Amino acid sequence: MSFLLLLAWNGVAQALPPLEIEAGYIGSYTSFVSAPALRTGARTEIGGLGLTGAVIVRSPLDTSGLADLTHTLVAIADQGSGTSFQQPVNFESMAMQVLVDWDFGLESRPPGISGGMRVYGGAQYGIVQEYYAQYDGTISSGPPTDLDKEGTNMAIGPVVGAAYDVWLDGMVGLNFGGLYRGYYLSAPQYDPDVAVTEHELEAGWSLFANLVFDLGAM
Amino acid sequence: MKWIRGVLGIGIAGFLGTAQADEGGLHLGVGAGSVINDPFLKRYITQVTLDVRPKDHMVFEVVLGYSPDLGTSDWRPITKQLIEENHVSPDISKFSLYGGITGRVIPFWSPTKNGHNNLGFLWGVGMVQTEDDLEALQAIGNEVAEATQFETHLMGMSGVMGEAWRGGHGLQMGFRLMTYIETVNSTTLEMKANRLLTLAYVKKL
Repeated sequence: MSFLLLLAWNGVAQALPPLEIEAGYIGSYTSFVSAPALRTGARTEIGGLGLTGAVIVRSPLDTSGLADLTHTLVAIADQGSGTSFQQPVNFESMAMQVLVDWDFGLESRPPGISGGMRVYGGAQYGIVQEYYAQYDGTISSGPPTDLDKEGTNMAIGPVVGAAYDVWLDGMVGLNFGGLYRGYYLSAPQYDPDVAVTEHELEAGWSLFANLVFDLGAM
Repeated sequence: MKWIRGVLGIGIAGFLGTAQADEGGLHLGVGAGSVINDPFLKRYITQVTLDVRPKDHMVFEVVLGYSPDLGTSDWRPITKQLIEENHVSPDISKFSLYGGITGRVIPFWSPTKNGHNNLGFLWGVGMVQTEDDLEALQAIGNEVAEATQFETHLMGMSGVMGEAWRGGHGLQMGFRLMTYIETVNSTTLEMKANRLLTLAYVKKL
């Protein structure tokens, strides 16, 4: 039975294009959110280029998912004078990425440990929830940060980046790097009394690390 | 055995194999990059490197870099908001010139059609110059703040470096962590950990 299964798997693997599956961690693209996300995807090769489809999922945001920077900004802005202050926080709860990558012409992985790098370009489409973090002196424990939800947007944006690959034996590897990515969203407005009318690209670097399995090699 | 070697011997795996490439000699690199973890400033850098590779998986490098001070153009929107609208003074300093010596171990390598890719880890030490942004500190003319406006610090450098080589030409992508301790406004000791992302062209001399 196991022999038949192995034979069937071998036939499927021969018929399909090379396929790798990956799962791991990816950080937020903004400095104001620290909550990590799960990123999982699949990659194949077409004409010397890699094509990756990935999904990012992040658990709902509360004030514990805000970066220390956000708490600090809210607190120190309250110490100043002048206009009142709110910190815009755009929270990516789910996203889909389509990326094309180039590994500089890698022919095949040598046996044993190997590694190299690749560059990425592509786009992402995500569900982005708009929040504002504001000072609240009535909070008795923890940072005096109150989080107000403004709305939810479906947004699109570019992705570029680079990654390093480390293959332990040709079948299992690590893939880690950084993606500069973002979304076209409402421009940041720090004054609660001023309405937001403009849109702009909000983008930043997010680091990621994946465990990768090469199904073809298996 | 490959798994044991992979898990336990990542750092020294390159030394266990045979020679992996013909890269011996001096290499000159010219590149640019940016600081990716500063929420208050947009900082860009240019960088020159000269390295020698006594073995294919061992690199000793001299690095010299410069980050121009673009004044208030360096400020991000949140910085302008805090300073100009909320009248709060964040402790902002900018590094300018830096240089150091690093060693790199290249344990990972893959052949490509006309060359190879590699991946290594680097460590090193150096010096870095910093300048406090007195406009952001709202301390122009303040003698206490001016006393530590310009400083030079010992810094440590570590990171990950990937290279793609074709003949004597290489593309180098580096992620470096530059750490140092400085005094801001004469009163505040701050530990800086700048993450530098660089892209460079490297040529075998």
